[in-house]
Parts: sequence; structure tokens; C-alpha cells
Amino acid sequence: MKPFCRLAAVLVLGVSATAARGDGGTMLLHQDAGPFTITLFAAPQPLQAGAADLSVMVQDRNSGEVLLDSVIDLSVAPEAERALQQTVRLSRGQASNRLLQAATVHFSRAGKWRLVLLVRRGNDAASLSTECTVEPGSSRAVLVWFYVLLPAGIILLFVVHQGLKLRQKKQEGISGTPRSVLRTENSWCKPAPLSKMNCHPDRSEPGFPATRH
Amino acid sequence: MSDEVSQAVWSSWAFPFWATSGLLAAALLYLRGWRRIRRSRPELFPPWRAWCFLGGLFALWIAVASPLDTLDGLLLTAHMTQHLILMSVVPPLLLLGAPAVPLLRGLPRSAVRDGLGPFFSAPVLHRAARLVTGPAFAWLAMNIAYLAWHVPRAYELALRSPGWHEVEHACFLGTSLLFWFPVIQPWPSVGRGSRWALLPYLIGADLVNTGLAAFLTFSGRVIYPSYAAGPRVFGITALGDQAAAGALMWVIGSIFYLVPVAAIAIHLLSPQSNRLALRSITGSAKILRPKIPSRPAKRLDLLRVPLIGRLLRARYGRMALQSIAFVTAVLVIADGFMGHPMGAMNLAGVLPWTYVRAFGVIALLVLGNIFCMSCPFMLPRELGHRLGLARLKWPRWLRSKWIAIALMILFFWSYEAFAIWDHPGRTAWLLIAYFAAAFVVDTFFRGASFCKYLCPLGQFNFAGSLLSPFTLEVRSQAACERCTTHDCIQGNQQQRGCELQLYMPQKAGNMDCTLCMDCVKACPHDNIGLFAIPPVRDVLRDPVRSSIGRFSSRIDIAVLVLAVVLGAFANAALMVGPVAARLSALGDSLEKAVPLPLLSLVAVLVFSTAVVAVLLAVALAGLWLSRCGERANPSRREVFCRFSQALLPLGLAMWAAHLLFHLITGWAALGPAIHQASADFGWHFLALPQWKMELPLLSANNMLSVQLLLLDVGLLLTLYLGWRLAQHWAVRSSRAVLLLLPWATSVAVAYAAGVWIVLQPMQMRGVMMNP
Ligand code: SF4
Ligand code: SF4
Repeated sequence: MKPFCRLAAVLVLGVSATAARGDGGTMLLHQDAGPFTITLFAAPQPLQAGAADLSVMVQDRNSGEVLLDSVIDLSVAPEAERALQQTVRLSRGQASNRLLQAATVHFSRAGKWRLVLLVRRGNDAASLSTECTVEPGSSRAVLVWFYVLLPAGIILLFVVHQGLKLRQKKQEGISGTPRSVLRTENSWCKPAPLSKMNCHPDRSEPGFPATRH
Repeated sequence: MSDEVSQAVWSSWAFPFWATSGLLAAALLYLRGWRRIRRSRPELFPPWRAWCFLGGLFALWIAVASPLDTLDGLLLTAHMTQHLILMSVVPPLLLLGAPAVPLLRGLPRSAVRDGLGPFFSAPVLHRAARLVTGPAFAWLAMNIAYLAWHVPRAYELALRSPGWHEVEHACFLGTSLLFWFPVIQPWPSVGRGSRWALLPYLIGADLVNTGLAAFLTFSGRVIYPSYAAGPRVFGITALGDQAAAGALMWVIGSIFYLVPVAAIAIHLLSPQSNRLALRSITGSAKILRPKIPSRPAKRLDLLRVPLIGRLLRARYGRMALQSIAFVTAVLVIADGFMGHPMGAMNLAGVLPWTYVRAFGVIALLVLGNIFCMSCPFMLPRELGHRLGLARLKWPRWLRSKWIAIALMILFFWSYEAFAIWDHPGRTAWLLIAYFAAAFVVDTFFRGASFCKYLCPLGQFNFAGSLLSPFTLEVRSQAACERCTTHDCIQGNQQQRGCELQLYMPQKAGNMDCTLCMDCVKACPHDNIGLFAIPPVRDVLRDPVRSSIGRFSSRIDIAVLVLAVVLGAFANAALMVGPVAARLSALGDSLEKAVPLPLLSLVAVLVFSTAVVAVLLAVALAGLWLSRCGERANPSRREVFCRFSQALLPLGLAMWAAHLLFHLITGWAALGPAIHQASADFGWHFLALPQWKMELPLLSANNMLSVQLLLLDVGLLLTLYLGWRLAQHWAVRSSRAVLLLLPWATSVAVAYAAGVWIVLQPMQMRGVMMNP
């Protein structure tokens, strides 16, 4: 059992380490505009049809100081159909990195999209535009496949589990002594047979009142 | 850096849901196991071990949730600090907690025994575990992972992709746990080889670290292009940031390697007595063998939990709940008749169909039959009882679930055929019919005949509660043996006994139990508890149940479960776009000949019968296959009955997936509906409602994840139950597989249908679409 205790602990702790990233994602644009230096981040990367997180950092062009009080509007529209433009106001509340301002944007389809950033601070204003390619959304398909394959993986593990159990039973039958370390130490890992689970120990004892209905 | 910017940095915390929940679960598991071991081995698990383990988890959380994580894309220094915590702080702390045995002891005993036991005993996995925790493998794994992830291409990949970034972190943490393993030798591991070998082991790792750190510090160019291309913050250049990161790795990293080198050297050179003292920190399996007491685990008894127990046993506790439910039902009826005609703007459209149904199913899965406990229809039937006319016994030939099953199917059909959810008046009439039926039946018949034999809602809850994690059981069978009055069923001067005729010492599981607590209050020996049980135990066991008999001989209960399962799929399917469109087209083409409600009733009956017949055929086919050339003992009735009951987890998962969708999309409907109702009643103490479309509680992808996860759990539990049953019946495993195969195939088809349903656009019932 001991090597397994170690392995189990390592696995449990290793799995716990996987965490979502909470920053702005991948840089899409980093450019000077007017008195500002503007950096646009996007997640996921590459962008896919569906929801995406876009976040922006605004810095003073000269000092590089992060400007937290700027007002940022982001407009996105498919290149082919500019009429479908949507505009969102970015906010710090939506960004886990509070040096950025973020918003969730819905890319309704794959293809080329135009992004226009309008940054204002006091009397200063600057605008910046860029183009990006949105790929067909696969996140939903990936999600579905993940959840459909999950039970398959667990069933496979269960099959291995049952195979190991069977083998142990056979070996114990041949040698007459249990192989499992756990079993030699105590009754901890002794499987309870279904027949045991069925037992209702006292119901048939003499002197016990019969059910009256 | 201005105050505002530094404030922004310090408030840049992320709360990664899965990591936080995983770490909390690990902490709870460890503490549970640690407390258990301390009872028998206090010298082995002093409090500092628990503090170390919890400190390790906390450090891990800091690494993945603090501003270090949110700034790692902007500052290499932040990123390196994060890696340093993951590789040099977290692993030693966790291992000092000797986590293996406490984590296992924290799990339910049966999960370790039946679930993990066979893996623990497999020689191949033993060998693999021995290999990966050996010093050579561990040293190489950690250093290779460390160097490989610092190659610019790999590092850039992790910066670009959140998924790879997580893999990188998992690699660092996993290999570092392996690396620190031979150094700390957490109990109950045994040291392999001489501890002198640990000196070159640690110094070698420090040399690797020093080499990489020096390269970063003295390199004249930015190694990782992302930092060069990105915005610079806090006035640090990319090159300066890189040099700072290298210096940090060098100095702090070396401290983490060289301090243990010094400690081990001192320990090895010190007299024997000191060595033994240090051994008690790391532990030695030769001296300290794991000892697991065979004392049965204490079961959680909700009636013994301070506040909850008192509430559940309070003399008028149930009546208080019922009164609230009754007043709510009266308001719903009144609003149904007098209020807004649109279901989505009326209490009668919103409360029962969006809220009560969903919370009822959630309650069944996490607690028990709470709906029956607080059932509003009980108050009029109490009144009926008090009239003193209840002298008749429910006819013996009607003592089964068949009428209730027919009523349940009738209800499922009428719900769709008459769009009850969208017609508040019809909902109100339905409630009135319910009150009247409960009153009439229980005025003339003794006991709880309405609940036990007629109420379709009750039967749904009884069937669903077979998966509930709590059940009422006697605390000591010996006390019942000594008991001469049997008040739990006979009742006494102050308290009536069980009206459902469940005799506690022979009661098994939740079937027919309304959680009324009459038996608990009646028992003079305080011998009844509300115990936690594994959720599938009720379906797995087949004892003779009081007032029910064996499940394997109750075809009516099997069909009841099938009705619940079928209802789940049919009810959800009828709401999805493609099915609704097809049915409407079919209805249009046929309505000229036959009225639609009649047509749909016939369709429901034919469909239900066909599914029952198919399942019967499937169960029998499995039985026939498994019997080829061999005598097996289960009867056809038993196989059909118990396989049908094993479908329950999938059915309840479908109900939960469907009803949660409505709850999550229509969660905001109740407030405006209450305002609307008060306006309709002419009560002007509430403002007029603000009807607006609210965003669902979860995003579309998260909603889908929850639904699919529920279906996955339902599928796995159903298959597990099927396998345990097949194993129980068949002589050999190969026969069990044959017995299971046709049934498991039909389960897979049902699961596929469920997945298809949740992927379709579903009608947003109970939600205002056009404000
Ligand atoms: S009244 Fe209490 S002690 Fe007596 S049989 Fe019932 S549960 Fe047991
Ligand atoms: S066993 Fe009977 S009396 Fe006790 S809670 Fe259940 S239904 Fe009520």
C-alpha cells in the first residue's frame, strides 16, 4: 500500500494545482495612440466564435504609468457586415488583473472582425483599430466531447478495477492467503458482498413482532 | 508606483473555482483523516503536521490565485516567484504533513476498501509507484521538467495558452513533490539507500538551478519575447525584470536546497539520540507502521446535529412548514384565478413550475423527501381525519402503486396537452383538485391512504428518495427488541404512529416515507435517527421492507420508477425545438381527423407501453444470454424489477438537468411575479413589477457543463447499479457481462438521447422574453 499512498497523495495534490488563469490572456495589440500606450489582450487565443474576454491596459505614453481612470469603449463588427457592430464599455470590475479593464464580447460568427478602441481620459482621447480573425467555435464541441468521454474513461478505469479484483480473488483462492497488504493489516479493504448488504440482521429473530399489515 | 496602482495590484486576485474547491476538499479530507489517526496515534500526528499540510495548501492557493498569477504575463519576476512557491515551498510543506494516510483515512471507508483497494494491491502499480518515488527518477523528472519548461518555445506556449500554463504548473508541482519525497520521507514511507546520498541529490539540483538563474541574470538579451513585446509596468525594463527574476531564482532557490543540505549533514554527523529525534519528524516505517483501528465509523445522524435535529423533532415543526406551504398554495390558487393570464407573469405559472419542481428534485438528491415533509395538502386531510369519519380501510386489492402510476402518466400528459404551465387558471384548478382529493380520501379512509396509494406527486418523491443520502433508521436494533410498546407504529397518547405503516425495526430505505417524523416523536426510547447513507444503497439492497415487501417482487414499484424515468426524458424532449416543431406539424396534419389531446393521450400510452415492453425484452434477453448452458437463479420478474429500478439515477439526472435549466434561466422571475400578484390583488404596498429580461445565473457553456455532468453521474451510477445486480445474479463475471449487455446498451441509448436533448434549444418557460 505504501507506494500507493505516496502516489495517491502526489496525484491528488497535482490535480489541485491546475487552475484557471485570471489575467488578460494573449496580447492582440500594443501600440501608442495619442498620449496613451494601449495594449489589448484577448482570451481565448485564437479567438473563436462565441464569448471572448477582451481586456485593455492603458498607460501614459511618456512615463509608462498605468492609467486606471480612463474610459474605454470597444466596438466590434464583422468585416463583411459593419452594421452588426456591438459596442461595450470596459470596466475594471470585470478584470481579475485590476491594472486592466475588461468586457465579454460575443463573436457571433467566424471570419474577419474589426475591433475599434476608443480611450478617453479627461480632455485626452485616442482611437485605435485592428483586425482579427475569429475561428469557428469549437469550445462547445470540445465541452460536449469532454463530458461524453468522461464516463467512458471512468468505465475503463472501473473495468481495470474489476479485473484486478478478480485476479486477486483467483490468486487468493490458489494460495489460500490474501495477497493484499491492506487485507493482511486489517479488514479495511475487504469488499462487502452484496448478500451482506442485503442482510437485515434482526428482522427474523424470535420474539420480534411481525409486521402487522 | 502610485497608491492607486499599488492598490490595483494588491486587489488583482483571481478566484479559480476548481482549484479553490479542490484545495478546500483536500484540506477537509486531510483534517478528517488526521483527527481519526490522532485518536490512535497521537505521537505520529502532532498538530504541526496539520499546520504544515494546511500551510502547503494555502501556499498553493496563493500561487494560483494571488496577484502573482494575474501579473505573471506582465512580469517575469512575478512568474518566477510563482514557480518558486510551486516547486520549493508547497511540496515540502505538504509532505511534512505526511498526507497519504490522513487523506485516505479522510475518505469513506468503503471508498478506500472497495474503490481504491484493488489498485493498491496491484503489483504493476506498486512497481510504478516505487519507480517514480525513487531518488533517481525523482531527481531527473524534476530537473528535466524545470529546464524543459524554461526553453523559450515551451515557456512562450505556456504564456500564450491557459491550458498549457496549467500543464506547466501541474508539471512543476507534481515533479517537485516527487523530488522532495526522498528528502522528507513522509510517514509511512521507508528510506531507500543512505541519507548521505541526499547531499549530492540536493546540491546537484541547486547546481542546475544556479546554472539557469545565472543564464537569465547575465544574458544580455530578453529570452522570452512576450515580455519584450508587452507593456512594461512599474518602470522596469524587460531586461531588468529578467535579471531580477534570475537573481531571485538564484538566491531564494539556493536557500531552499542548501538549508536542507546543512540540516541533513548535521543530522548525520550528530549522535544517535539526536538522529532518532529527527526521525520522528520524517518518520520511519520500521518503527511506525500504519495502524488502522477496525472500530466501525460513526455515522452522521442529522437528528443529533444541534440546531437541525431540534428543528426536525420540534412538535409543531412540520406543521409550521406545512402552514407556510399551505398559505403559499392558497395565494397561488388566488393569483391563478384572479391574476395575470400569462403564466410567466403569474405566481401560478412561476412558483410551482420553475421553483418548486427544481428545488424538490435538488432536495431529493441532497437531503431527502422534503416536499412530502412540508406538503400543503396535508392540512385539509388532517381536518378530514378530525371529523372522525375515517373508519374504512383502503381496499386490499387497491394496495399498490397502479392507480398512482396511472395518475402520474395522466398528469405528465395533461401538463403538455393543456399547457398547464402557461395557464395559471389551470394550475389553480389542479391544486384545488389535489386539495379536494386528499380531503375526501382521508376523511373516509384510515391511515395515509392518499399518500401511499394515490398521490402521483408523492410517488414521484418516494421513487426519487431511493437515491437520497439520508434515511430514517433505528439507532439500535437491541433497543427495539426490548421495546414492548412499539409506539413508532402504534402511536401513544401524545403522538400518533406511522400512518404509512412503516414499522421502524423493519423499515429499509425511503420508499413510502414522507419524513413526517411522527415515528421519531412517538418512540419513547429516542431510538430513531436520520442517518447518512450511500445514495445508491437503497436500490442495491433488497431486504423485506416493512409494508412493502421485496422490491424484486413489486412490479408496480418497478413500473413507477420507469414512469419517473420516462417522464424525465419525455417531459424534457417535448420542450426542445426540433421535437416541438415535429409534433406541432404532425398535430396540424392529423387534427382534422382526431382531436389533438386525445391523439396525444393515445401516443403517450402507446409510447409508455412500448418502452416498458422494450425494457422487459432487454432484461429478458440479458437473462437468456447469461443462462445459455448454465442455470441461473433470478426470476424474470426479479430481473425486470431490479433493472428497472437501477435506471433511477439516469432518470433523476435528466429531471435535474431539465429543471435546473428552467431555474437558472428563470431565476429572476419570482420577484416581479410577487409584485404583479400584489398589484392584481389590489395590495399596493409593493411597487409595480419591473419586467425585464435578466441574464441567466450561468453562462450557456457553464449551464451545458452542469447538465452534461449530471447526466454523466446518472449514467455511471445506473451502470454501476446494473453491474452490481448482474454480478449478484450471475455465477461468473463473463455471465454477468452477458446479462448486463443488452440492458447497458439501452442505458447508453437513453444517455445519448439525454445528451441530444440538452444540446437542443429549449423553450424558456416561465421567463419573460419580450419586456
Ligand atoms: S418505538 Fe422505538 S424502540 Fe420501540 S420498536 Fe419503535 S423504534 Fe424501536
Ligand atoms: S417512517 Fe413513517 S412516521 Fe416515520 S417519518 Fe417515515 S412516514 Fe413518517
